[in-house]
Amino acid sequence: MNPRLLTLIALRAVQSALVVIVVVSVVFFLSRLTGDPVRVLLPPDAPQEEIERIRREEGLTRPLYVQYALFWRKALTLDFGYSFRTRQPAVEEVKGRLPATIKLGLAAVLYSLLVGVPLGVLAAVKRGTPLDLLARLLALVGQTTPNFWLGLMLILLFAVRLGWLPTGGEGGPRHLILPAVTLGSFNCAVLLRLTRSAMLEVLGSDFVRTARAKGLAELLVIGRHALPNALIPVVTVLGLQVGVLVAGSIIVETVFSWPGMGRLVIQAIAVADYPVLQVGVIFIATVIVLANWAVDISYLFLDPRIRAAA
Amino acid sequence: MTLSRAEERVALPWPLAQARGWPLRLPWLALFCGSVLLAFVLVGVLAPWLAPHDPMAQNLVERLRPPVWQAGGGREHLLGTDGLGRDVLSRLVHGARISLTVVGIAVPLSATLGACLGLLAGYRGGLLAAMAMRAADIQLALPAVLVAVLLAGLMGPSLRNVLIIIVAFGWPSYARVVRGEVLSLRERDFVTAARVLGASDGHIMWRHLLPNFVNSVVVLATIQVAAVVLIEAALSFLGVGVPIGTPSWGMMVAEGRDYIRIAWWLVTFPGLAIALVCLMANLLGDWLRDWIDPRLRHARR
Repeated sequence: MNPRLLTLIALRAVQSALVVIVVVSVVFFLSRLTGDPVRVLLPPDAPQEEIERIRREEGLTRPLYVQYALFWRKALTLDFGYSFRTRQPAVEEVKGRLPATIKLGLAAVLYSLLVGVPLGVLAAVKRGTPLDLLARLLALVGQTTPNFWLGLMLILLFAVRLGWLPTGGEGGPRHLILPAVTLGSFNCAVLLRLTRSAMLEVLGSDFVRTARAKGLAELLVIGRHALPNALIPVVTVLGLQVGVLVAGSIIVETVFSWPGMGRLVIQAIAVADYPVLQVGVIFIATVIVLANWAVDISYLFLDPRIRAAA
Repeated sequence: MTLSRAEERVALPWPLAQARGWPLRLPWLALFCGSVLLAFVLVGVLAPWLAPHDPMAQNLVERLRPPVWQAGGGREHLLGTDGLGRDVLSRLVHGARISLTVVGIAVPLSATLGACLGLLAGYRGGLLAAMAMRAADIQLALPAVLVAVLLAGLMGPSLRNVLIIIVAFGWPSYARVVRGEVLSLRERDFVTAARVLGASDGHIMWRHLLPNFVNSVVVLATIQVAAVVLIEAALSFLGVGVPIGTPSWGMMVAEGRDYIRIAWWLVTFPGLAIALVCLMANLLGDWLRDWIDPRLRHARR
């Protein structure tokens, strides 16, 4: 492989690692600046001698930079203490919630792709018709409606009024529909707008005119020639939306009582379960950073122009 | 110097002067959005005089009254009452005040901070530019909600935390845009001319660069109004925004959630208010952007 390309990948990796370091540091300093850190390590009802013992054991009597180093040593071995609520290692608690969050995230991406892209293509092909107007209106509403409210409105309509779908919790595929639609709606709107404008651009280009001039069926022109070219920016944006999706999942999981990482973190605040809160925040941030890194690298392979610029 | 004056005039046209064929060419959509937003500001400012009831006054006898047009509703509570018998309309009106407070403090603060740092980074470059751009990277990689959750978990929810989060996550957008513009502006002839005439850096930045990028800041700020209203509502909904009981729109949705099976109006009205303000600010921002930069009118479809 091209050594310059490798350098670029490594550079991006270093940048990503820096962000993770900043996040862990922010978590450390916030937890130290906002009161007695023993509070962060022990349940609120711990006896006084226990607090003193932990204070010595954890090195809290030592200077801040020593504590910072100690925090890092533990963080690198994924030791963030035990959950106050379940007495399990906090890391295990968060890991256990990972599959549910991934499932919801994938379903949301799938929904936004299956609805956003075809609607965008249709809107571009039927430009200026009521269908186009409707699609654009849908995109506008999808981008400006707060997702927690959208979720509750969907519950109100489909669960409370019509009784077709459950109001929340995890179960069969029926439980997944409303949360996935809620989480995916913003992405769906973005993809719709993007696909529409990319398609309009491609449909006006020379090679599409050539394809039409050759007498190809319109469906072939759109499906074979126009769409693949219009999809390049779509892939780009899909990667950029990971952060939006993860942030959204914190909210959507709360709305639908979905047992994922986001809900765990919010619950941890409610019961002052600081170890779980810390791990949850670090974990989610790391996932986002890794995803962004992967997206950056995939561009290098997908787009020859970026590769050339490297 | 005269060149820069001419630049300023081109950069800052007056809307009605452009609308030839008045009144047909008047930007009706923008005027409508602007009026709705103005109404929102007025409601927020005049909340104590507009609200028919005390937004915090509980009345358990009158609890969960539906809006006036439904059976069981009354004139006393036009939009009904919540689970503690508080008047929904009054809380909605006071909610506008909270959103307005957050917007009024957070948007100018982050715009000023971001514009100043972006201007310095673009004009001088060096360490500051590098730091501003790294901060922007971190902002991209970390959702504000996540940091807000952490902050609220450790310090407890408060309006001050909400403002800190919004400003901390808001300024990099302005810095990025302003830096980009300044990078190209500073190479222009009118800046060179000013420098040749002996203008100081401060004078160049204030009198020659600022008037040329202030438009972009205004456009971005308009769009950010929607983002700020939305994020305050989302944080309050999660319980990591304003303290419990505060009549904020997001908090009202969160409180109404428990009654969703029996009282649809509790989650519907505050959510509509959030969505309306966000929609109007977005539309106005889009229109402003197209109008200020006619080149974009055709580029963006």
